[in-house]
Amino acid sequence: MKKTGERLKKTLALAVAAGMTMGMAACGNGTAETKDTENGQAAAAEQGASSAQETTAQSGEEHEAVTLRFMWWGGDERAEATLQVIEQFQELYPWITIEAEYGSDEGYLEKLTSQLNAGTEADIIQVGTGHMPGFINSGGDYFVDFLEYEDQIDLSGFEEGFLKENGNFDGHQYGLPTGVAGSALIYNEAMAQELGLDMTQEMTWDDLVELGKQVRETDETKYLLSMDSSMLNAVVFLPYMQQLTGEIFFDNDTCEMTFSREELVTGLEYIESLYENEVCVPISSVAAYGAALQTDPKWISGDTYVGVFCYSSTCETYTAACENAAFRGAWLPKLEDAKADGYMANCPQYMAVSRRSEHVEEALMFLDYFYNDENAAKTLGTVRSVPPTGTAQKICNENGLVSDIVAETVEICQQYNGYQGVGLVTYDEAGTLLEDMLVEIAYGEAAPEEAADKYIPLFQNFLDAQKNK
Amino acid sequence: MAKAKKISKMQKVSRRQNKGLLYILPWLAGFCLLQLYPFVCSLYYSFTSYSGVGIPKLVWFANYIALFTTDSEFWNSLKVTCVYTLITVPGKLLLSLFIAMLMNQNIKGIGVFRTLYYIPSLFAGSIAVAILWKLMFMDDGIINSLLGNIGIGPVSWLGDKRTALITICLLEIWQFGSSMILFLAALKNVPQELYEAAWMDGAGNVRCFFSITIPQITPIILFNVINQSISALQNFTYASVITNGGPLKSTNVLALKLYKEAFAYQKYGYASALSWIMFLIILVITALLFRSSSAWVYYEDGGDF
Repeated sequence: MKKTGERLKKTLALAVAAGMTMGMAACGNGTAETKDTENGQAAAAEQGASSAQETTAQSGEEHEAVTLRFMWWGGDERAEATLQVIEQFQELYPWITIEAEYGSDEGYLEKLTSQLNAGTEADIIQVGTGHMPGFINSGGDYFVDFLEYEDQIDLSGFEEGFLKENGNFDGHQYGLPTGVAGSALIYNEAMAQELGLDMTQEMTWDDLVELGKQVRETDETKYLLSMDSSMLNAVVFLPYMQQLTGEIFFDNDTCEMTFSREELVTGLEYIESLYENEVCVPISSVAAYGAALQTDPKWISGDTYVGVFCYSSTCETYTAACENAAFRGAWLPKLEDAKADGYMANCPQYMAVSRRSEHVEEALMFLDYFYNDENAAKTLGTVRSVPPTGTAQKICNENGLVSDIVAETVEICQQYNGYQGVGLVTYDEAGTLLEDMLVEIAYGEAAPEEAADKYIPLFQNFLDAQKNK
Repeated sequence: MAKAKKISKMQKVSRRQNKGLLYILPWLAGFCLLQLYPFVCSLYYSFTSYSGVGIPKLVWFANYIALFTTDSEFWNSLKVTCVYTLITVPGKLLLSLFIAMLMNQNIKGIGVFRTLYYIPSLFAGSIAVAILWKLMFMDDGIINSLLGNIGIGPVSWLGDKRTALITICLLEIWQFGSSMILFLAALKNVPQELYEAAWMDGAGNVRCFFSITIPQITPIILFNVINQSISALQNFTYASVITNGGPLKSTNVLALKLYKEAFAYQKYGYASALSWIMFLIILVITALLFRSSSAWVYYEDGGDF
C-alpha cells in the first residue's frame, strides 16, 4: 500500500515536472514567436513565399521571398508618402516585403545606436546628417559603400559634387542624401506687414535684434521668434561662430576648438542680446514643447510669433500647423565682416544600407526605385525637402509638388557657401554641452564670460576623449 | 548494513533536492540570464571604456574617478535624485496613510472610494499619464487656467527650475494607491480592544493615533519606506518624458543621466560605473533603514516569522 502511495506520488511529481517543462517549452516557443513577429520576418516571409510562388507561376522566374526592414523618422506626411512608395515597390516586386518602422525623431538616435551595437538594425536606415560622422568614426563599419554597388543602384541622377559633399566619407559613399535643404528663417507675411517689418532684405545679426525690438515696441503680446535650444544651437549660434571665426566649431581632424575664449564670449553675448531684447520668446515658456515648437498653441493660433528658425525640410510642419497664415522665407543673418557664410545647402538626412543586411541587393533595388522612379518621385514630393536628383526635381516642378515655402527656403540657402558644420560638433554629447551652455545664457543663469569659463574645460574633456578613441 | 541504509537515505535526500532544483529551474534560468549575467557584465564594463563597438578596453578605475572628479553633472544629478526621494517618499507615505485612515471608516459605498483612489496607481510608470501630466502643467494647461480663476499665476511649472522638480514629484506622490492599500490592511489589523482600553482610560483620537495606530503599523511603514525609496532612487520615466532633464538640468535624475551616457553618447563603460554607484547608494540606504528598524519597528511576534 505504502509502495503504491509512493509510486503515485512519484508519478504525480513526474507529471507536474513534465507539465512544467512543457510549459517552459511553450513559453520558449511563445518568445520565439513574439520575437519573429516583432521582426515580422517569419510571417512576412511566409506571405512573401506565397506571393513569390504566384509570381513564379506568372513570370516563370524564380525568386526567394525576401523581407526588408526600413526605418525612418518624420511627420505624418512623410510617413504616408513613404508607405505609398513601399506599396508601389512591393507591387512591382511581389517577392520583396518591406516592413516600415517609423515614428518621430524623439529617441530615434538612441534606438538606432543600440540597434547598431546589438546588430539588430533595419536593412534600410534613414540617418541624421549630424549623426553619421559619429557612426563612421566609431569604427563599427555599419553601412555599405554605395560606390561598390554602382551596377545595382543608379547614382547618375545626383550631381557629382553634391554627392561628394553629402554622405561621402574618405571616398566611401556611406549615405545617399535624401534632398537638398538648409537652414531657414520663415515668417508670417501678414503679421510682418502689420508690424511694419521689412524682412525681404538681406540682414545682419544686429538687424535681427532691431527687428525683434521693433516687434516688442509695436505690440507687447508678440515676439519676433519662437526658439528652442536645439535650433538656437544649430541654426543661430554655430553659424554665427562660423562667420566669426571662419571655421567650424570643433576641428574634426585635430579634435581641437577653433575659437578663442574672446570669440566664444562674443558669440554668447549675441545669444544673450537675443533674450535681453526679447527678440526670442522667453525660453521657459516654450521649454515644455521641446523641439516641436509647432505644437505650441501660440504658434498654431498664429497671433504671437512672427517667425521661426527651422530647416527647409521641416518648414512645412510649421506652415501646416499654422494654417491661417501665409509664410515667406527670409534671408539668413550674416555678420558684416563674416569670415565664412555659416549657412549652406546640404541635405536633411541620408539613406544608408546596413552592411550586415542579408539582402543588400534587394535593399539597393528599393533605394534605386526610391530615388530614380518617376512614380516614387511624384509620391514623395518634398516630404524630405526638394529631392536630390535632377529627374525627381524636374518631376516635382512639373507637377507643382514643390510648395512655395520649400522652394523659396531652398533657393535662399543655396546662396550661402559656408562649411558643412557636421562632425564632432554634431555628436550628441557635444550638442548637449552646447545646448546646456546656451540655455544657461537664455535663462540668464550665467553671464557670457562665466559660461565660457565653465564650458571651455568641458569641451576640452569631450575633445580629449575623442582624441583617445 | 547500517552504512548501506545511511547511503540510500542520503541518495534519497539528494534526489529530492534535485527534484526541487527542477521545480525552480525556470526561475533560475530567468535569474541567471536576465539578472545575474547583466549584473556581472555591467561590473566588468564599468572598468572598461566600452563604447558598444569592438573589444572593451580596460581602464580600471578611470570611470569611477572621472565620475567623482571631472563630472560636475554627476553631483548635480545625485542632488536632484536625493531631493526627489526626500520629497516623494514622505509625501507619498503621509498622503497614503491619511487616505487609508479615511478609507478605514465603516460607511456605505466605501468600496467605491477605495477603488477610485487606487486608480492612479494603475497608471504607475506609464508614458501616457506622464504626457497627460505634462499637458496639464504646461503654461496654458488646465492647472494654470484653474489657478488663473482664483487670480494666481500663470506659473511656468515645467519651464522654471524652481518648480519643475516639484511638478514631477507631485505626479509620483499622486500615485499613492499601492502604499494606501498596504496601510489600509495594516490599519484593519490593529486590535480594536487596544483602542477601547485607551478610550476607557480617557485617551483622545490624537493620542490613540500616535500611541496605538502608528506603533502597530510600523512594520508596514518600514516596508513602504524601503520600497518607495528604492523606486524613487531609480525613477526615470517622468523626468525623461515630462522635462527630459531640463530646465537647466534641474530634473536630470541619475537614471536619466545613466540612460543618456549609455544610449545617446555610447559611453557604456561610464554608464555601467554610474549604475554601480547607484546600486551602492541604494544598498547603503536600504541597509541603514533596516538597521534603524530595530529601534522603531514593533513586531507583535517579536520579529520571528
